[in-house]
Amino acid sequence: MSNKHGHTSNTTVQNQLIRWINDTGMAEGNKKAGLLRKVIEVLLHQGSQMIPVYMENILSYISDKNTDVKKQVAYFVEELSKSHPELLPKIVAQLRLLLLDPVIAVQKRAIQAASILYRNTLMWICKGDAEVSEMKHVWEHLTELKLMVLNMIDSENEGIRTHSIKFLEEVVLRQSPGDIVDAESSLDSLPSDVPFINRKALEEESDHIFKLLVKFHNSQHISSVNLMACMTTLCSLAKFRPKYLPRVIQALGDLHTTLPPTLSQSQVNSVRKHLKMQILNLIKQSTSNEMMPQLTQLLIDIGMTAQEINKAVPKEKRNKRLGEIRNGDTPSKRFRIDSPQSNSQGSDSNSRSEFMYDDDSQSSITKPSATEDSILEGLNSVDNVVNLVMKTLQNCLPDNMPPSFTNDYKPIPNSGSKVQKKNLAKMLMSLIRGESENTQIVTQSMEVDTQPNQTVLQQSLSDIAAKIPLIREDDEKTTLKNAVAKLQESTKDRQIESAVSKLMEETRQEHLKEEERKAKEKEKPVPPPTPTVPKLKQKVKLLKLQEITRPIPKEIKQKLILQAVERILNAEKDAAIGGAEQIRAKFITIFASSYTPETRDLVLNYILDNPAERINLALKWLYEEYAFMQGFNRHPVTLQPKLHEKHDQNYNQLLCALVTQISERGDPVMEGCKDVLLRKIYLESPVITDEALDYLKHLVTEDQVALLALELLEELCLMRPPRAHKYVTSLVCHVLSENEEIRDIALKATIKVYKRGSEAVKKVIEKHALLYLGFISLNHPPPELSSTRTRIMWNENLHKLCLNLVVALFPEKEGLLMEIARIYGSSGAEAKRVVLRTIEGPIRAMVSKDLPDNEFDEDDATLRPAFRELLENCPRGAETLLTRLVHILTEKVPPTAELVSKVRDIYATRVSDVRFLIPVLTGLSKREIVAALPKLIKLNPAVVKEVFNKLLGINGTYDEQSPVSPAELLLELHLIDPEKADLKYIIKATALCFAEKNIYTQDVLAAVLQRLVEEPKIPVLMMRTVLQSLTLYPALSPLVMNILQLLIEKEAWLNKVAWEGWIKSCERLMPASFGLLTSLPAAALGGLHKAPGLLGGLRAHVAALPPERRAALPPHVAALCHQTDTQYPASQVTMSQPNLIPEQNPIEPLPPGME
Amino acid sequence: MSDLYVAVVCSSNMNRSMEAHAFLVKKGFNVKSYGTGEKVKLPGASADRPNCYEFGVLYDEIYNDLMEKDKNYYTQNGLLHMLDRNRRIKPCPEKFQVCNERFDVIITCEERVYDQVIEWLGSRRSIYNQPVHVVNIDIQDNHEEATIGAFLISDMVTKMAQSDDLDNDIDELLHEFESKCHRPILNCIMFY
Repeated sequence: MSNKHGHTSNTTVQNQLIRWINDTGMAEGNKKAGLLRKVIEVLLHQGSQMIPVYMENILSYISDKNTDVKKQVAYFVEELSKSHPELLPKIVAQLRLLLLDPVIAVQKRAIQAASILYRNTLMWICKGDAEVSEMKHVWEHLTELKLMVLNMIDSENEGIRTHSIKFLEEVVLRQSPGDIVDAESSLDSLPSDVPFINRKALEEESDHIFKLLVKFHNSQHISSVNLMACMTTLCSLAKFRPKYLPRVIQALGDLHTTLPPTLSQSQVNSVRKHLKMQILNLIKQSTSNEMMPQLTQLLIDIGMTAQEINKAVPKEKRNKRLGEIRNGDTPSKRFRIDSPQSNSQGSDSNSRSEFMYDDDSQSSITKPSATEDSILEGLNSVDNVVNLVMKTLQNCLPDNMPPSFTNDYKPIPNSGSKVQKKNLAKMLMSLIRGESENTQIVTQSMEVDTQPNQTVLQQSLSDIAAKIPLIREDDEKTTLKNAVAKLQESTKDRQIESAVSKLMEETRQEHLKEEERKAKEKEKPVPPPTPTVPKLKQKVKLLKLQEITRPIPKEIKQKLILQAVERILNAEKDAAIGGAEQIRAKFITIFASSYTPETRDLVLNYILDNPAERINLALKWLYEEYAFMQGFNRHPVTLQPKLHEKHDQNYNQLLCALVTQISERGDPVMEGCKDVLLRKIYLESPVITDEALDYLKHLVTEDQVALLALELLEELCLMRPPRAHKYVTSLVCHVLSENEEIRDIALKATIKVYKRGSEAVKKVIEKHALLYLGFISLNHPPPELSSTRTRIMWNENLHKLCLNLVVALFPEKEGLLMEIARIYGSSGAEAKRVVLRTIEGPIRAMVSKDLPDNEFDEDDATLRPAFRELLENCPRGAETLLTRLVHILTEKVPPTAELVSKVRDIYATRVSDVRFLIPVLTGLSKREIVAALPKLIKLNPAVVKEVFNKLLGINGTYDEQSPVSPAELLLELHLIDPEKADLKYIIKATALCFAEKNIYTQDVLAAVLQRLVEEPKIPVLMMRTVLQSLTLYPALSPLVMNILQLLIEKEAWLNKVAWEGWIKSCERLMPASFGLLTSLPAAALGGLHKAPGLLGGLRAHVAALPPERRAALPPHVAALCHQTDTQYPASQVTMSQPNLIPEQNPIEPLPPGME
Repeated sequence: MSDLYVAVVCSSNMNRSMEAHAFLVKKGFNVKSYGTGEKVKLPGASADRPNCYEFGVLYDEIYNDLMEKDKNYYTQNGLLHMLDRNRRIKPCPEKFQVCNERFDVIITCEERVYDQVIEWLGSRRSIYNQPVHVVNIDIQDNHEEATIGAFLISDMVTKMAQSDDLDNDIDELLHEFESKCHRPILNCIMFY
């Protein structure tokens, strides 16, 4: 049952697995890694029996692109090695591939897996249930793996190095004989009968790797992380393989004394701390009992107090240690020549290889013959010490202090303490053993039985020297040759930095051995008479500079300063050659800005000697001064002379001095480059002070540089916008200059500045413009306008002068129009004229500027705000200006409705002058025009002509629809009340109409006549018009006949003027008019006597009538005819006259009664 | 965000580590927090009588305990607020020395804690040979400093997460960070 259940679950697992494996093949990136992970987990924990089947599927991902996928493979390999070591032969090769992967993360993971695999492989071999050939295969692979990782310890990548270190730890651990505690994974457990494994060789190899690690650990170039990893590794090795303990302690001690110089402070702290932690960790191990004193000494060296150490040490060890000390039987202590306190890196005479252990020895160079404790006892007696010191002083001190002493010597902080005494004893001990000459003194005074051994040191040194090649030879035998050799070399290179270790390094080379020994001997005669040295040092310290020197008098000091500065100034060439130009310049600026006035003068003169070349220095100085002025720089306390209390003046003074000197010195050399220099100073200095600006303003009045100065002013305004509003005043005032050229340039520049300037700048310029504009309303020209003191009178030019700025500004700011109008209103007549004339151009320009825009949408054309404002609030007295404006506005375009209404308002309320209406006439209503007509025709003839042109649309540049048609106009003229306008004007006006024959055609006149006759009251000029029309267009005669007829009905004879005209018309229309005449009533006929021609004609006509008709004539007509029969021939003569007169001049005939 | 597995460790797993824990979780990091002390210690009514709890006692229980003891006082000194925050992050304070996780980076908030972490890591035999970076940044044990510390830690972890090869970059990264935050940094590498 359970079997069956297990079987079914297995199938589901398998199905699941297959699905996942398939999915993995399809998936990408992280998803793939996730799936693979699932597959591996299931395979390892649920379906282990399926591993051989699906293993290949997973291992094939070794060449995947994704890093995580490859890491999963490494994990799989690692796990397999643990749970299924029988598969090792199949997977070990895969791991090799992973180790060679180009991706660093994969490599690291592979190294990690390799260490586990290595451990598991050894265990697998230990078990020995596999075939020998398989084991051998795996082992060979493993050996290669090992070599690969070994080489990786020199990798560029820190992580790889770290992992390699750990791997090597594993190797060392596994390949060295362990103790009882750790039997399962040490060399001991390896079966001795495996043919391809040589235990001895393995142990040797592990030893070499250990040495390699130690060297790596103590190399100068090691990074802090590697160092700590290495430290941990070494300590862990020491922990599990106590045989390494002494060497590890040695290595740690060496590390402590010479930390790699490349570490930063916090790394040093980290490393020190790590060191401490590792040592403390070691102390807690039971295996470290024997090395306890060394370990505690190391802890003391690191800076732990005895109490702290005691606290850290396990209780059972504490007692043991005490016992040891009491016995005076400390087996092996490290002997050091240097003082124990010198623990900072590279500062002591100790060297890491000084106490190199040879391969098998676990003790230091020699066993001590006189113990430290005995010396320590001797040191406790004051007499002994005094004797020792005295003897040393007398006999053993060299004449000169050796340089090494000054380098190495460090004051001893804890002199007299027990610790120090102990260290002293240790040093003496080493001295006794190393040096025979002086030992006698020591032995005498201390009564210690020593065995002077002159050659011990030499021997030990040569031992070392001899042994190092030995190691090399060994290395060559081993498979690790390359790695180790490389490491040795690199260590060698880096150790050169440390002088002492270099010395020791040289001992490896035999030809230097001799020299090295001599150096050692030279050092030896210097016993460490420590107690006396601090005193000497103190004496030296007592020499205080203040006591042994006298201050230099101030005058001399200043003189020296000046001389020094002078020398620096004169070293221009040298500095340039030597590449110290920048520094020199910096110095000079500092001297000039921070020292005495004399220095300032010196530097200033130096600059002015050749300003063209030294202008940059000057600018630098300016900047320095500026920095002081603004408080960016502060004078050092010692350099604060009283003068600097007002150091904000220094900048200004310097700037002014530079510009005035340069422009006024008159050096021929300087003349040429004056322009450039002034420009450079003004444009490049940090700030232009008021005075410098004034000076520039003044320069404009100087002939030679005026233009330059103007240009500079303009550039200042443009280039230094924040202060432009200050600079611009100096520029603007020149628009009043008497010199036309300057004036023009200033004006142009001002406008340019105005266009680009900020609001503030604009405001300033406007203010000036208005100020100058205001001048024209004064009775007398203000002093600004005359260079001389004499009083001058206004003239046109002066007015123009005042106006030029405002007029030039006008296109930029129309709002000025209002101001102009205001001033205009209060100005005199002459000024007004000038204003009108000058302003006309700009206004016209502005109006025409608008034109193109409004061409297509005239209806929308609106007034410019400036104009509108003026129209709305025209200042008193500026009406003429306003009129002019309106004129200009309507010159090219028909008046807009807005304009018309405004003008109308003004006309109604303020300006009674009808001329004001003229420009907008075409915009007015018919009624208005009619109302204005009487006034209009009274104006001077030229104006009247213009008015009529406008009304009739003659000469108009634009199509305008006049509100009154020509016919209406003529009609209205006739209807003007003679009371309002003199008839003379009306006649002139109608004459103007008649002159326009193109407009007043026959039809038009006919219409007019028709209308006239319809008037209830006959207009005064009607008959005159009738006559004139008839003259112009004879074809009108039937109409006229009609009119005459109508007039009879109206009893025209009652109106004298009209009747005269009527008769004249009849005269013209003879003989057709005779019929009319005959129909006249008697009362009317009386008038005919004044027209004898007509009367004669009539008589002739009557006479010619057939008798029956003649009989039908009214009696009064017949009577008239008979009355005047005699006069008939006379009328014959005048008959032809009417045809002649009108042709010549239609205007000529005056209305009846008007001649 | 990244697969960096981070532990933040302080003494009691209450203030500094939790502040940073909260902060890092919000930023999407894979993070855990621990304490290394013998007991969970919280300030009590007087300096010599701290409130001590075993690791593993729920934040909630501690909260209620303090609430009962002196609600006003513990509200005022912010402890209740802190506990409330903590219990929303995880159930109870955890002791570092008993955890079985393998982190990529362990950040400690105090030198003593750093020592304890290293000691513990160093006392074990490494099985997996997997390296872990232990970094210490000193943070005083109060609310304000904890907040600042959390910022710093988050900064540091962000930088670490951005690195393609942390093992290689950590020296430089920490050096840079140190000069920026002006606090001494300790670091070392240990192995699981």
